[in-house]
Amino acid sequence: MTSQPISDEHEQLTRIERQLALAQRITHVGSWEWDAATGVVTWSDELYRIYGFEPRSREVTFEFFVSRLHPDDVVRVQREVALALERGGRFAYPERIVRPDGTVRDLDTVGEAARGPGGRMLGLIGTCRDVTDERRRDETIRVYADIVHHMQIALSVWEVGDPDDIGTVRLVTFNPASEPVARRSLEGCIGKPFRGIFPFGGGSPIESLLLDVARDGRVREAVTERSRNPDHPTRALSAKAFPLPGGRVGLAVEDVTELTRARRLKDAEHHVLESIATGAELGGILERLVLAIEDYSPPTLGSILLLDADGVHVRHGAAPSLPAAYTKAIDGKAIGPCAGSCGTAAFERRPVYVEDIETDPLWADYRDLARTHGLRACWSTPIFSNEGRVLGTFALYYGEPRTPTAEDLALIERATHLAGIAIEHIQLEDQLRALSAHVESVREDERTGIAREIHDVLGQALTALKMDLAWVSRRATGQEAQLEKLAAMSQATDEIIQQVRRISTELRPGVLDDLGLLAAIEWQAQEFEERTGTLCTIESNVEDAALERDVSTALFRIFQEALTNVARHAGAEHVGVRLWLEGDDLRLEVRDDGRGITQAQAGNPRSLGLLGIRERARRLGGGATVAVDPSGGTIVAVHVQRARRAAP
Amino acid sequence: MIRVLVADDHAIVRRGLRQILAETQDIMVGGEAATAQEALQLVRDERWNAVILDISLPGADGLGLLAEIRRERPELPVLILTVHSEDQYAVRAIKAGAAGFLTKESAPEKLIEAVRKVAGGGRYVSAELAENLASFLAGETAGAPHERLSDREFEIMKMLASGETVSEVARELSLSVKTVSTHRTRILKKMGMKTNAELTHYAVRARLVD
Repeated sequence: MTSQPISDEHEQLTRIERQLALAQRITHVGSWEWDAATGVVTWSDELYRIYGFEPRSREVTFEFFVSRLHPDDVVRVQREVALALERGGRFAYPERIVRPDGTVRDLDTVGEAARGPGGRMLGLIGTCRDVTDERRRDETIRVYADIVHHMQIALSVWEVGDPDDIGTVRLVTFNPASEPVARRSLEGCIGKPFRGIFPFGGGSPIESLLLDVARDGRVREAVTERSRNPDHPTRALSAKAFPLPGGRVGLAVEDVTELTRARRLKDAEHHVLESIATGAELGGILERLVLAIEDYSPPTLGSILLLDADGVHVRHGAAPSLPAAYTKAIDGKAIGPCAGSCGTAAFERRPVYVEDIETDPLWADYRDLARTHGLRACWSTPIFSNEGRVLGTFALYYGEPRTPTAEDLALIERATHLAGIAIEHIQLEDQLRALSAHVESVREDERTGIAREIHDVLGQALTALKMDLAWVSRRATGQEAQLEKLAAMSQATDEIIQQVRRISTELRPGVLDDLGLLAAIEWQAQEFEERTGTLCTIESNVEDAALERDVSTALFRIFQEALTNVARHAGAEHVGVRLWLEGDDLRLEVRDDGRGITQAQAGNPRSLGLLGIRERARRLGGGATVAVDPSGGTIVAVHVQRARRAAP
Repeated sequence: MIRVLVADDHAIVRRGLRQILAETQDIMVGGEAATAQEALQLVRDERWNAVILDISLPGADGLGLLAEIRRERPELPVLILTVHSEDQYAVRAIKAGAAGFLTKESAPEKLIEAVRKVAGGGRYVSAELAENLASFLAGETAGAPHERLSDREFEIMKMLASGETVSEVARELSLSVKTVSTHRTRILKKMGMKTNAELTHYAVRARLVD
């Protein structure tokens, strides 16, 4: 502001008017005057702006003023004005006006009725303040406050004195939802330190969240899947902390226990399905399933029993949390109309929910056993195959008498269904594998028989024939033609012997049965070299190891398949073969320096050769991998158990 | 007189052998066995100058019978006579202590020669087999790697080592590519190498090529 000396009165007046206009503009206050005698209305510049007009752009009359009022306010405002005129003195009322562009503004009007000598009414004078933005702000704040008050998320504000000292973090305020989430009353806690309110919060993610946000003012989030509070161990909380003015930190905490639990269960189910698809071992799959259910619904203890092929006895399937002595005692028991929860459920093909083992007649034979291990309730459901065959039972145990809730039943149904898929899938797979193994072994036996027959009977007879021919040749004293004929016969016999040997060896190499796996692999490698010109080198430590016929046959056939692949696809110059024993595992590795198999080829489900390799290895309790050698070429690596485990 | 025991489960083969050996003045078949037990019994009970043994005699586990005979009479030479022509049989038979190895399709003269040789305390393998044995035993034999090669292999090795390709060698020697390729494989194996580059490296160091 300038501090010019006041030159004359007029100038000073103009200056006051300017300052007044500026003040009106800043505060959104307009002023007006109504002369009762002339009916002339005068508006200040700011009032024109409030009404949405250029200052002094038109005449203002009382009728014009009324025409700008919001239709709902017309009657009321006219009455207010009439009252003011009648009573005189001060008046005030709110009004809404409509601008030419249709927007509605909220005004607060304050005025005074001016009276002349003798109480004659001279007119009205007043101000209008545009309070639209203010009202909206107030409204917003009111709505927010309402939301904060009613929302289910715990909101609290904390004062942080020193971001390195949790002792200086004190509660400033909180919303009602904070109490259920905190699982305690917060009455009288304002001003108290964090650890004083949450003794189990020490070192928790929420604690460091508060301190970190106080330190650098950046918004942070954290999820704790397991509460440190021993009374609520499965609780999961999701927290977000944000900076507030004055070094305070806002904290929003949500109880996500249900969400997390549901997600974890879903993840576990997904994992189980995936394991089934990738052909994991059944025991492991079922155990994972039971653990997931136990995690979802504590303090339950889960158990899966499998029904034997005889349809009478149950076998241990999975019970990772039940006492081992208990599961051992149950293993091999017969099902029946009164055989605990599981035995009865499997026998009667219906769910059996025993709510108190102590009193239930079905548990007569097993009551003492259950008591010894502290089991009081057991709800069991049969697991069915697609065709309705009972595969086993799924059971939940509790340490206290207990009645299943609707939620429990839904969970049991989900788990039972999944267990059924797993068991049936694996059983079918086992059957298929056993069948294919049987077919394979029959075929191999047949080949061996035929090969031996051809080789021995035909081969030896031909050998003898050849000796006889030699004998005759030596004694023949006849003509040249006769001797030539004998020589030709001898040669023909040789060729037949070669053919017989070739046919027999292709069916099944005698080397494999006579000399063993390593010799057979050496022989096959040598044949391969001669046929393809690809160098084969062999390293091995199994020279004298006695191997089962199945194991030798499988590895030999795998080796043949691997070589076939090399010849067909690799374009290799060298094939390195390693055959070695490592503990109980027999390992074979065929590594070539050719083009290298592509990921797609290695995983191609229609590649029967590779499938054959994998299946042969799996049947012998092992596995096979086909991969690209980092230095180029392909590696087929197979391991099998040296002594085959008993069929399941 | 060389007194021989013939152990073979095929009567016609035994008869054939008898005939062949009967033509000599110095060899006589003194007994026959058709099973492993019979053979072992005869080895124990009588004195022999040599045994002609079929590798796949019933009742015997592969080369088990050979080992048994060796244990019983370490000084008794055993000549393996078999229909199996695969090198693996020969290598394992020799390792297990056989004095000689012969396939049944060999000419009768070879059989007679073999019996005389082993009975006289010598060893008998065919020339072809001897060469294959060399490559099998490459790791165990002393001497420079190239000394294990035959003349033809040595020639091809030098050509490959000087950078010629398999087809060039084939053209030059008027051989099929396949034959040369097989030769190359054998050469690499006998010398314990895996690539032509290794061959070149070796040949230069051993001053076999310039």
